[in-house]
Amino acid sequence: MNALSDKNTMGGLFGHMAPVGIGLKAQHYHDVLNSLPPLSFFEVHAENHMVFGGPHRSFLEKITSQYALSIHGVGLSLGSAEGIDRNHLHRFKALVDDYNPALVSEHLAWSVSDGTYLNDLLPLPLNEESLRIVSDNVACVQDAISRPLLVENPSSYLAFEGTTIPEPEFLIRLAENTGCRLLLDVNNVYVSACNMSGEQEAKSAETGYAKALDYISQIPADLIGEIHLAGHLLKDVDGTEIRIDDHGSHVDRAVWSLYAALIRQVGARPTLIEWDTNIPPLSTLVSEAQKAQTLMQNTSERPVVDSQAHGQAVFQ
Amino acid sequence: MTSLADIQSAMKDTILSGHAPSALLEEIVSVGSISPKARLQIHQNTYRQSLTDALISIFPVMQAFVGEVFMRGLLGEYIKSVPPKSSCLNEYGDCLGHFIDGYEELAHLQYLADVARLEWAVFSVQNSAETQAFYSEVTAAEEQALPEQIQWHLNFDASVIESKFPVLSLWMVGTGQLPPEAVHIDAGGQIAVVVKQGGEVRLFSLEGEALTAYRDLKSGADNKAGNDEAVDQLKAIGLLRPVPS
Repeated sequence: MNALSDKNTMGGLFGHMAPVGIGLKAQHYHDVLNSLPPLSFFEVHAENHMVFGGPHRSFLEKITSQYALSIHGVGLSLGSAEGIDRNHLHRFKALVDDYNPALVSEHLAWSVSDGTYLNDLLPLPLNEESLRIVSDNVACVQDAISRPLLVENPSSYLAFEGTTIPEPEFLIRLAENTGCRLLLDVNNVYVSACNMSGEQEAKSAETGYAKALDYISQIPADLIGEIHLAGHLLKDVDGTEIRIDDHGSHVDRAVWSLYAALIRQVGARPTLIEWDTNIPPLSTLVSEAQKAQTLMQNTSERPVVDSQAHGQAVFQ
Repeated sequence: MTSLADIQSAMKDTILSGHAPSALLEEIVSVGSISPKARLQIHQNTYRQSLTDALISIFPVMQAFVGEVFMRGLLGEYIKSVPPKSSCLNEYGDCLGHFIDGYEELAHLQYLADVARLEWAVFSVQNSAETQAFYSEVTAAEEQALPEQIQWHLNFDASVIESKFPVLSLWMVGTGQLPPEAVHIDAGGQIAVVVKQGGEVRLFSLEGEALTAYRDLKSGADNKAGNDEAVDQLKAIGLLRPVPS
């Protein structure tokens, strides 16, 4: 039995073991139920499960009877100047109420303008106006779902002249304003640090790595409620190497190294492997998650309660 | 300083059009090793690619008729003309049939619009709520014992596609259940019913008295006025749903 007694609480994921999970993909539904892999939780994109019936709902109900759940929004558009779409928020709340997930998260990004959904996590200038707007929107979501949200740092391909607040500071002030916590996506930190460098720097993964390390060192440990890890794609754009956050490959070696540094800094945190394109067999995702777990158990300077405390079956 | 609302409006226009960014965006996006145009193109590509992939996964039968290359071109035009109004990708694609009606390059294959409508209906019904929409031995017995306690209403989770083409036969060609040579496009129209029974989506052909009864009910006529046998057929395929009175 993989179920934790308090699997649907934050306490169920924190404090007991090195909790790792993977993004739940439709291709893996049957394999998950047949093999019950040694994971603590699964994460789903909220918008894929806003349906009344069908296979997605049916499998999710079966899987959440065995595992803790994290609901990860991609469409609330926390950065929209026009505010939160009340209809969408109503559906988001209904999903949270239905499944009572251990974690609920969204992105520091926007995707809606004038009623049109752009199906992307778009960047915004980080300044006082944006901080006020995002704070209002996060507060609105938290009021609706009656729990704190985890806000994820974005992967960036462009920056604005109007940015006046560095991203780590923006996130920290957002948390101060709203009581939200953070989902730190280590791959996004690295991708953005590399992509936002100057011409010479962009060619140097080393520089991106140093910037990423500096970024994560600024995030207070108590703000981090979840960590994401994923692979990215290297693409040549006008002769410059750009890293695209496509979630389509193994976690990059530099990202593993940053993850280890982060865990040394903040201790064990629920860690998720995202893999959304070129989806491999379930065993590949589970293997990446186990790598994170081993690293978490070996690296964390803070005590992590042995997994056996929750039963042999969890880590068979 | 440009307001966030103006920035988002300008980015939306650039992403939807696929064209070069406006002078405003050229001015406010930081210039580094890559031009603002190239950086915004990453988001333009993501928008088009992610929506195309989502639609490809919803319309495999359509693709079987036109091939992947043509399908991607068609969907590219659709995405440009009909941007999403919801962030749920499983709600995007409902207008593809209507779009194909007016798509010049498919004017000689008009039946594909109805294939798209049928495919969207199958996808939507699959994701609808589980209901006891079908006529079972239990409901038959209940109805016989206490007829006044059961009323029958049209099942609004079901879909009915009225086509002037043999859309169900075409569906069977697209899904490999029939060879293409078995279907004649001029064979006459078919009315397809898409319902969910016991968690499975099922397709039926509606014709004769049952079709008349369905049309009467849809127009608001009293279902008791219809031919009993025809109404029983609608119950049997789940187009009528039992509701305790």
